[in-house]
Amino acid sequence: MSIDQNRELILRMVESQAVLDGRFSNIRRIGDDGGPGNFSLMFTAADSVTGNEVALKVFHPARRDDAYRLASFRREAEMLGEFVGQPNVIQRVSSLADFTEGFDTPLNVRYTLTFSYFAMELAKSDLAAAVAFGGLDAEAKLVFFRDACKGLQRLHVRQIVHRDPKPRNLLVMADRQVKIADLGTSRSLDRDAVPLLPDYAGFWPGDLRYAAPEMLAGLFSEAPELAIYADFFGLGAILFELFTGQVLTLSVFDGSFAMDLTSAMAHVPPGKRRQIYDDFVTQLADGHPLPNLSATGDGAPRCIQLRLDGLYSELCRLDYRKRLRRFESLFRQIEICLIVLRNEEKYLRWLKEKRRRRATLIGAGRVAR
Amino acid sequence: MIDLAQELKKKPSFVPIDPPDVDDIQALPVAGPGVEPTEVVGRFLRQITEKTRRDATYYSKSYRAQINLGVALLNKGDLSAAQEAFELALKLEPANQTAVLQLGRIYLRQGNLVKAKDAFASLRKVMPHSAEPFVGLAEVSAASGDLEEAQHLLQGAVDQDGHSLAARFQLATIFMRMGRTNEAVRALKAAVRIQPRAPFLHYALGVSYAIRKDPARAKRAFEVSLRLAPGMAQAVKALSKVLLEGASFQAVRELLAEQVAKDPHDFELRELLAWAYVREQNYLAARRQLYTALSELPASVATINRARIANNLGVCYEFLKDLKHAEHFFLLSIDTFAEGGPIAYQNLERLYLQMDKAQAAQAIAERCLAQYPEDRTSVMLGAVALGEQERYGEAIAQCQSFLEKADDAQISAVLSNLLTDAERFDEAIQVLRKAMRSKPLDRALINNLAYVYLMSDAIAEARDVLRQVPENEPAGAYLAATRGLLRLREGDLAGGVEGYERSQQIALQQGNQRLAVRSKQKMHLELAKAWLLRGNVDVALQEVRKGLALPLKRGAYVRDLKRLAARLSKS
Repeated sequence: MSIDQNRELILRMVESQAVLDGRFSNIRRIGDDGGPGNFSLMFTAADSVTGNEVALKVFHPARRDDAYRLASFRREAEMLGEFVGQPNVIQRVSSLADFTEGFDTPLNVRYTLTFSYFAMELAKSDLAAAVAFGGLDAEAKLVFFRDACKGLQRLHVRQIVHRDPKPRNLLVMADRQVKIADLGTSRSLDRDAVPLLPDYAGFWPGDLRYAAPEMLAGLFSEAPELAIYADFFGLGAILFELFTGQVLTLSVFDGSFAMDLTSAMAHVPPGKRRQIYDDFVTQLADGHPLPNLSATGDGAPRCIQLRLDGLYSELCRLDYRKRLRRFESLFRQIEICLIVLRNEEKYLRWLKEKRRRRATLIGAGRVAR
Repeated sequence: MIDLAQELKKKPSFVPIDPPDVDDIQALPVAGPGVEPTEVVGRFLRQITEKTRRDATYYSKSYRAQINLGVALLNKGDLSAAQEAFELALKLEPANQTAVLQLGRIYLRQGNLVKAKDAFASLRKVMPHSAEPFVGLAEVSAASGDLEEAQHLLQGAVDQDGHSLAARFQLATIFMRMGRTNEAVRALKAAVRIQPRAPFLHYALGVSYAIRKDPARAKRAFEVSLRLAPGMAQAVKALSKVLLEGASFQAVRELLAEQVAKDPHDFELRELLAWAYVREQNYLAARRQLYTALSELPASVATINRARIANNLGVCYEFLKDLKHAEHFFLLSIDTFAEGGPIAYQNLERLYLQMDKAQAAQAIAERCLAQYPEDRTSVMLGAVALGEQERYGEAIAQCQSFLEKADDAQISAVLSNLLTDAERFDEAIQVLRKAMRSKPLDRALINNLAYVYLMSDAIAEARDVLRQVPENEPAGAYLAATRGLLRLREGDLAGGVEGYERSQQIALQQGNQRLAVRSKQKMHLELAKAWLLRGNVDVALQEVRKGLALPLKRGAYVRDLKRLAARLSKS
């Protein structure tokens, strides 16, 4: 059995640490297997400095060969440092540190593993769990979504793009505030910033199911600034999933979509990727219409159905040039939805009256003609 | 006398790709995968499925996670795993509409119509105002062949939800399958109003116009779908077919050349391009395209396509006078897919007759008739091949056995031909008279009857029969020759020669050199007989020698010339 398969052994090795960094004790895995991540393992620990329970994010020691993932892990710890004290972004409690631990194999060969970790505030849950098990009312969904947008806005203000917004990376805190987390695939758009992946090599950063088509087309290395548009796409996909329970891209990114995209972008020489994509994206969008939010899964309350449909469609436009990418407009739309939702009866009465007046006007016009 | 051996030897036939048809638009592109994934696409779908599976494992008690997994698996084309995921979702959340709907669709694709019907029927109870269950039930009805019921259900779906694209689209396909193309066009136009920029809708509209034989509108619809989706290979092919029918060969070449450059491994594109070249008689370019298509054809392509391309390649070689290669590819076509249709057999039979390989032609005709006993062309070609071997008895029996089952003017003409060659004139007359009862104005029958009368010295009857064809009607090579024979029998030698020379001229104008030679051979034979009747043995012998010197060495005329030569030598 390889070390890689010995997740349980590794989890126990971390749990066996009495104190880490002189402050974190009583280390316990989250869930049965330390969270769903392949590259990082999640633990809870008691922090003697703050007196709070915190989350320890530990890089899987058997995956250290994957230089990109390890660098991403380190960069996440570093980037989180820039957001200390800011709401809607997960707070780092301690900076990156390492510890080593050895173990003997049945053949008496001693292995030493290096564990890198940092501590963050402990969340109660994440949006993925909220979506999976339902139970949120429409207002809570909208408030959670607004928090997620605020978190992403804080990143964008600092010229950082997240590149992997998805329900699992949106943590729900004990006070029901949603915070954006997992900056492992994020990237600074500063001119001096060095990308971890220098060029497109068939490797998409982040979760494919929430990646915008331009990211799937490999434009992120040639035009990193497009990741801003892609983050908005991710937000739209999250909004869709919050109200339908279904992953948007599973309905859009089917075999024919992938075939169209890959055949259009195959054999494109370096430097020409964006130009070719721009020529092709209208056709891609026309050929793959977005599903109607109201006709899918759980749907949304009728009073905000059309607005939500419009909002998510604006955010998820496959053609990034036509996509909504202004937070002001996004927040305004969310606020309108919240107001309508909180005053549903009044709104429906107003709507009925408006329709009646319009019908009267049209009738009068007919008579006049 | 019409010599059908010549007539049938004329042109090899192409097997064209099917024109745009309702089968081309069975699946709604937004509804499912329906694509053969490339390696990159396969990897993409695998990664998405794996991520979704991990979520489903992590949230194993969430029906939503199971539904997402089911959809991902459906996209990947893994129906049974998707079915499991949806069934698990139903266990977690009984009567979940999405899971029931997807399960219904899976059962439908698996051909389990009973379960599919149950699923959609139960869904109709809980979603009475949605079009989806109606569409599903209609698909079940259509799959079980009840198009009327499918149409009725889809009309119901449209009434429930006028904005349901799936309902209108399916309704259009049902109308097309029922042959009600006008209604199909109306349904598709309504669908286009719902989603005006969907290329597949314009494509489907183009197909329905093509079926309605409205090429101008079909062309416009395909062009719109191509403007919306320039890489849509289906639309390129359909537009090419419409343009080919309208003889816009240059436009087809331009359209296809670009598409072939984009997708050099699409054999259908190359076939269409080859077809355009053939219509322009550029057989060399056509051969190049077909050869590339055949040599690069992946193993997964159905053998019927391989057989079709091989046959068409053989046709190009035959037009290019490379008979050896033509033979090779016709044989390849037959050996690749013996059930691929009779055309390759017929082409090879004609080719062998042209190469004077009557025995081989007969063998192929027998193979063809074993597969397609009703194929009249092979009956004719087989009989002609037997006749060329002077096996008249077998040839005549073959035609007679076919005529016992059904009347057929052409087979009757061939039979009369064989009976005449076998010098059984009375039977030939009987056959032709019987055939003319149903087709009294058939020119081939008239010509053959007149010829048989002439051969049995019934000149007046022959003259009466030939009067049925007006003098001012443009005559074919055969009729001109028969008229020449009549003049000879009437004693007008110069008029007879004039008739035969006219026949040779017409045959040469038609590019049928062999027929011209045959006509000339017949002329010498009949002139020899005429001179002999007048007692001029020397000139008769000269005519016999001229006839035998011609490059045709087999058949009834050669046989008669040889007989005459022997008689003259004795005298």
